[in-house]
Amino acid sequence: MNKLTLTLIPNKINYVFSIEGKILNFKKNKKGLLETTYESERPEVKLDVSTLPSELMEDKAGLYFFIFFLLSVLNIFNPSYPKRDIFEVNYSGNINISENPNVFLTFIRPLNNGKALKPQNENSAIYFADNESNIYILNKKAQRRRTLVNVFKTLTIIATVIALIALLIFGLIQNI
Amino acid sequence: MKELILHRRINRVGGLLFNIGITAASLLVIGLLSFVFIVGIWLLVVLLLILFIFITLFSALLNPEFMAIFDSIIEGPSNLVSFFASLFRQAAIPLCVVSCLFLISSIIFFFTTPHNSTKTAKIIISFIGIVVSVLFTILILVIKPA
Repeated sequence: MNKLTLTLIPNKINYVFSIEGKILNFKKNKKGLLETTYESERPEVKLDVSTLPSELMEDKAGLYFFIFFLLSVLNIFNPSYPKRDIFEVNYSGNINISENPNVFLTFIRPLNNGKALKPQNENSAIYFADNESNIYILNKKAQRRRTLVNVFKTLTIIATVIALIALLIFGLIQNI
Repeated sequence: MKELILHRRINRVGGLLFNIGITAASLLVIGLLSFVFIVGIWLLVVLLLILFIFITLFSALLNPEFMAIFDSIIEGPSNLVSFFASLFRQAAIPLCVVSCLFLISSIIFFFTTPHNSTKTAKIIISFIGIVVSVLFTILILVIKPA
């Protein structure tokens, strides 16, 4: 039985690692790194890495945005939609696991057409197939929606601050 | 995949509750500052007024009565202290309840969602926020304004 150990530096990217269609679940090891293992009879397996699409691109994204808009008091308390989510990764490559390798990877900071996964040591670089699919792809529709949401949120916050200041001054005048 | 999407949504709800809870807890801290430190009040009011002044600058320049009202607002810190003291004394308990409820809810949400790198930090801040909210509410109700 051949065994692959995959190690990943913890990061905020919503990734999905799968081998031969089976989704891998990472667990934190003693060093604080994320680790998972995969066992197979085959000497070479196909590794797929993808990222979740932005929340603004999901099915019924408009409905969920509207619900969160109301719940978060006009979007003021809504956590921001992260920029990293507008980039997508769809990596696919083969890994030779006949020598039971330990592949240590990390996600690079997202940049359009920039590298997504980087081997952390020389041994990992030998086994990890760094091909043309190992890139971040910018989802322009998600980018436009995120910009729109941010502009909307800024305008709402400005309007709320002005309203609060006006109320405060009105209260002060009444008090004095 | 669907599970991850669901966790991300639960995490957003947790973040939302956390933001509301922390804002309410921060207001209690500002409330106590306004009781004890006049300088704190002045800084807060000045910062708020700066924005207001910028926005209404044009109308203020045209209307001389605006400057008279502005002068009356900043005539003395004692009026401001009593204003904020009464404001925060009335709002302290509701703010504390809101803060604690939202922070407790956010802790529950964060505990139930894996795959979140800022989870631990938010849980710690939430716990501190609950203690701070209760403590500052008691102080606001006990301390007499300076």
